[in-house]
Amino acid sequence: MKKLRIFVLLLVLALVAAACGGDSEETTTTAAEGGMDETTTTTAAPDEGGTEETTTTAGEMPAEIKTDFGVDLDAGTITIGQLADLTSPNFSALVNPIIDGQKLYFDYINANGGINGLMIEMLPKDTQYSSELHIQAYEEIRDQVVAISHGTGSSTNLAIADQLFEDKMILVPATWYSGWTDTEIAPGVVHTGASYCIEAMNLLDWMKDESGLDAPTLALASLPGDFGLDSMAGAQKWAEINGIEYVDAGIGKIIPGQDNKPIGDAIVASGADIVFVTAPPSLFSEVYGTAVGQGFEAMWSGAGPTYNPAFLSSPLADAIQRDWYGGFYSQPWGSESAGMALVHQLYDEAGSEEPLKDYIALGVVEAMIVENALRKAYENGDLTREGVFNALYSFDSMEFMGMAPAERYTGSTADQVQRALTLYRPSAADFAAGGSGAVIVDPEFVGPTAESFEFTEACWSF
Amino acid sequence: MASALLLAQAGGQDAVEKFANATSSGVALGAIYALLALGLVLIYKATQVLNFAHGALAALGAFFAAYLATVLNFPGRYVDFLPLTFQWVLSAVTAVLVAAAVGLVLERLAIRPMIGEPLFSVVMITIALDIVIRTITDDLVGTTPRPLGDPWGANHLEFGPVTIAQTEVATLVVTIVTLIGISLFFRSRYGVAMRATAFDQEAAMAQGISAGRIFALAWAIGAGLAAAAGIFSSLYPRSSLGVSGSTAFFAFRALPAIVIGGLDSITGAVLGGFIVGLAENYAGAYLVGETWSFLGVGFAGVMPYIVMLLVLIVRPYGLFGTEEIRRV
Amino acid sequence: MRARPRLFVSYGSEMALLPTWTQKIAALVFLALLALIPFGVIPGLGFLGDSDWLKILSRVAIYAIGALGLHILSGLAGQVSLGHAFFLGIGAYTAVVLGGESGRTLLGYSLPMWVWLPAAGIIAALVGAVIAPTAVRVRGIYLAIVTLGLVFIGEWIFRSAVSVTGGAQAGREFPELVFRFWKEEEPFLDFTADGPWFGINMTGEAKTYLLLLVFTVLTIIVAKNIQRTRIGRAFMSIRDRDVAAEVMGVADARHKLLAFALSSAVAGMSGALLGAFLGRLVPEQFSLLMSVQFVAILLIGGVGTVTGTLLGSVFVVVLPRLVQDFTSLLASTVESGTGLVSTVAGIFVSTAADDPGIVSTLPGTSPGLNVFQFNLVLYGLLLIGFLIFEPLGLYGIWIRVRNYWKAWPFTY
Repeated sequence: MKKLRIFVLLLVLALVAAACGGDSEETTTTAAEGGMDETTTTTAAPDEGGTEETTTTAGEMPAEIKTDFGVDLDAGTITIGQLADLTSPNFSALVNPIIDGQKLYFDYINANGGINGLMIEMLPKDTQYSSELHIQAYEEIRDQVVAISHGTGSSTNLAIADQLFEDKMILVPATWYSGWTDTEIAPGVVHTGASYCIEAMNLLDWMKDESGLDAPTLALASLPGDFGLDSMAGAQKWAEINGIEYVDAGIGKIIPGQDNKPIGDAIVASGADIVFVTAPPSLFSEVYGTAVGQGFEAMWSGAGPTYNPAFLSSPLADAIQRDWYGGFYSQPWGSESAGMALVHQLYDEAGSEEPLKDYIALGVVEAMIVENALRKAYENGDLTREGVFNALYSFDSMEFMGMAPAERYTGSTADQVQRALTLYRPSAADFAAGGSGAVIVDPEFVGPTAESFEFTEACWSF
Repeated sequence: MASALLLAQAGGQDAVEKFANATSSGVALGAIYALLALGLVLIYKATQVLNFAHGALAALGAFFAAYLATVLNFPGRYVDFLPLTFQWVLSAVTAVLVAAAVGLVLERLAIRPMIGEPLFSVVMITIALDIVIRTITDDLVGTTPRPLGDPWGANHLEFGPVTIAQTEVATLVVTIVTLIGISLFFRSRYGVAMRATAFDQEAAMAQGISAGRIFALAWAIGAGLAAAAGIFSSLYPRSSLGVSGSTAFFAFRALPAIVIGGLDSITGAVLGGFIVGLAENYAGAYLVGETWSFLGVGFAGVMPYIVMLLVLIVRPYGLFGTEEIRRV
Repeated sequence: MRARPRLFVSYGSEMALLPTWTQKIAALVFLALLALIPFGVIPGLGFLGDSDWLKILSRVAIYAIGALGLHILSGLAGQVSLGHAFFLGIGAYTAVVLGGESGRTLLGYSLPMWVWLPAAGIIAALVGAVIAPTAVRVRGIYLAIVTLGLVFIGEWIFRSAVSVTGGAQAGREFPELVFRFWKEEEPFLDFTADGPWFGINMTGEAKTYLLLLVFTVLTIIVAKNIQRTRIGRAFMSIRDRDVAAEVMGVADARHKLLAFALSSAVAGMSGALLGAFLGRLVPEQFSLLMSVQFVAILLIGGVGTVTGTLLGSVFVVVLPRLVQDFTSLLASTVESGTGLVSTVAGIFVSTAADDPGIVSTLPGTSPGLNVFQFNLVLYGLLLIGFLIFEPLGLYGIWIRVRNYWKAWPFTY
């Protein structure tokens, strides 16, 4: 017993020693792998951010590159952070493939000369969709990175929004809250893809068209919070603009940890032609399963992350292929763009077995945003955080090798809003053949409602 | 039948159908809670430990079932002359046995050393076990939910006004069989030994009963029951996608069941499970809509706890629990 | 005659918190060191002055205050409570309604800190007093489950009261840690802004840390004082044998109610500070997981002692960071590829897609646990280890070490 006690004591001391040792230690940098923070302690001078001026080797580039944090010209590395939900049951299922995708793409860039000879390194931190951990993780990495290529969650990102703007750090969120497009809200957080609000309008336009009905009835239900309510706001605005009646079957009422069958019952009771439900896939499956079990047939849709190709191997496979009309912010795996061909190649080369391929592609798009900003910043000779920030917000039209519609980062809120959405329908045959189970119907669809909608502020605010 | 006259919704179902369906799914949900409660009470009665890791064990059991049935096809591939349903059942049974083995290991490693420690520490150790087992199960399951490959899918059976899912029927059948099995077990040698140990450990040991073996047996059976509950909670309509990271949290919903029934009463646990299942379902079916919107979001999940508090105010040891006689 | 730690010549000195001069000076020196941390002047521990470590230490302070609340209830009065997160939530949301800004759908009165902080404590105490009669009727495991139910009911209330909390998944902003006299524009004292105080330039994080340090010290004094008053002794007698205590004249129900009220008051203030420190909270924050963290703090540190509670807070809040640094240290030793340590570590750590190992440091999914899952598993295993091998917690280890050196070289 005594020996075991001593062992436990030593273990604790070892941990303490490691922490104290680890922080002041300067270890060798690891090349192009996802290393942890020790690798860039050389540039993380805690309280002073100096500007280093050095000459570069690339011939046609400017002679002096300014840097402050996250870029080490001597070691030749650029560090990019990720504040991701990697382990909690909330969104880790979607976030892990996104990070995988980013890694694939950054490795590819590094293998092809990096950013003018500077290699990109990832610095992921697990924030478990908790604001507390998100804030803590940001505090840890802000002096070690020059940009953040992934942030999970809207309320978590909002918790650090002020600090992000103060540091002039860009962050690419993995949520499509319409507030990110609004220049008044969280200016450091970069908008990507159609927001939930616009997405809802596009999907509903499409479904109404497909239904052939002049006045279909609509049923709505969702998770609370921005994911659910921003999406519902878009659906409600669509209904208002098009003069369609809707039934509130549980807006903001679908939550984890409770039985969501009653919401399915309410949807069935409403007898709607079109059902728009935004919730995480596991909760959606409870609602949808209940409705299908009662023999209910309608057209179903919801915000992108509501759907998961796992449905195609579940008892609901036939029903979902019949009923689901899906949208996504970047193109799914079956896209015929040059960018997707590249991603297929990288995926095969890495021998990855990740099934959520659409999210891998999404990760690549997020990584491209950061890459484009970095390259432009390099051209401007300013790889400080502010330099990258300004570079990003100077793009009138940023392209993604055809994988996603072009984004605009200049001008007012109305100028920057993304109205195009990719439309798809699920297909088990495609999934079985190695695709992501989504067959593209229209790669860049803009419905009449979204087209003419005046977007000057977020559809829903906290 | 007064409840059937409440809020009859137009379209979809009439009042009788609605009541019948709410009752049938309430009973099915209650069956899962009863299995969980049974396992918890068994462990508590024998070892005086409330197992907060029950949910994690349930998720682990469901994972084993998914893995055995879909990935390894064990032992299905050795008996492929049997119909598919049987093969899947065999995989599920194997999963339950493996989970029981895990329960044995846990008891020996983590619970045996804690005999005699204060309640606080014992509660904490099961919570810590829950964290460890849950994280490992999360890692094993992976980021996408795993379907269990059961043969019933989303099919339904109809008996008059009642439409009940085949999986729910299976749940009920298994629960009834289990209850019969447990009551028979308690008449057997080991069952009597377990009852004796639960009643008075020292006296039982004086009679030659090995307390250690009883503890191990209780934990094994408890873990097995948890696994069974976990398997059923990962099927349609509870979760069409299968076992995922959130399966483990399901078990906390059964805690009110054991308190309502009384922590050391087997009958109480089973009854408590059904009461909670029905209460939750009725709340979900009837306490919705405009008139009830003041109840906020997710009242149905909280209702069992409120029922529990009300029962405790009237009977502090649960409906069937034995009152503690304390000596000073 | 020289003073000796165990020699008391008056009742006053026996009851004193710091009886001897040595203890008094040691305590002052320790406090001074803590206050100097943000300036990075302590040799060897200078890294603690970095803003991310200061944030960790600030969280330690907030959790310590909350844990001291639980200490009053569980450590002193012996009432098992898994519902501590509920009281933190009550305090936090009282603070945000009184101190926060009103919005389209949100309630807020923008009152200053000297209103919302004590109010958080008072309202939480009242709620604790209301809950107590039900909790008093049950004992042992039943109490644990009742308090567990409290957490779930609390989650429901917080989810549904959208105008107070902002709703599930969304949350709302909390009042800042600034001191105003009333609702004037410029705060009298701003703890979040960088800038000079008394001529010394300090970051916002440093100022916040010092403020929280002051609050923690005040709470420690209150907790230690409760221990040596009549009420504290009544609590401890209830903890040991509540029936016997009643026989001796300690009113059981009344004192348990007092314990709940006091504990909730401290918890409420801790919750308010947590919200103000983080700036933004979602209602899901106040979950069973948070309650469990507090229970873990008490158990790891050593139930029933204030020192234990403090040691536990440091351990639980700092541990995730230590584990992260530890695993990255392992990963870098594996990659530098030399020596015995590296080979042993190589078995456990996987650094490339084809390298088997229990823990993997690659970003994204890969075989084995990722660093953060490993963190959780280690946390759970350490908890289990402590509970099995050292029931007295870190305080017990400290006592053992201290006694060893006290009796050295006669350590038998």
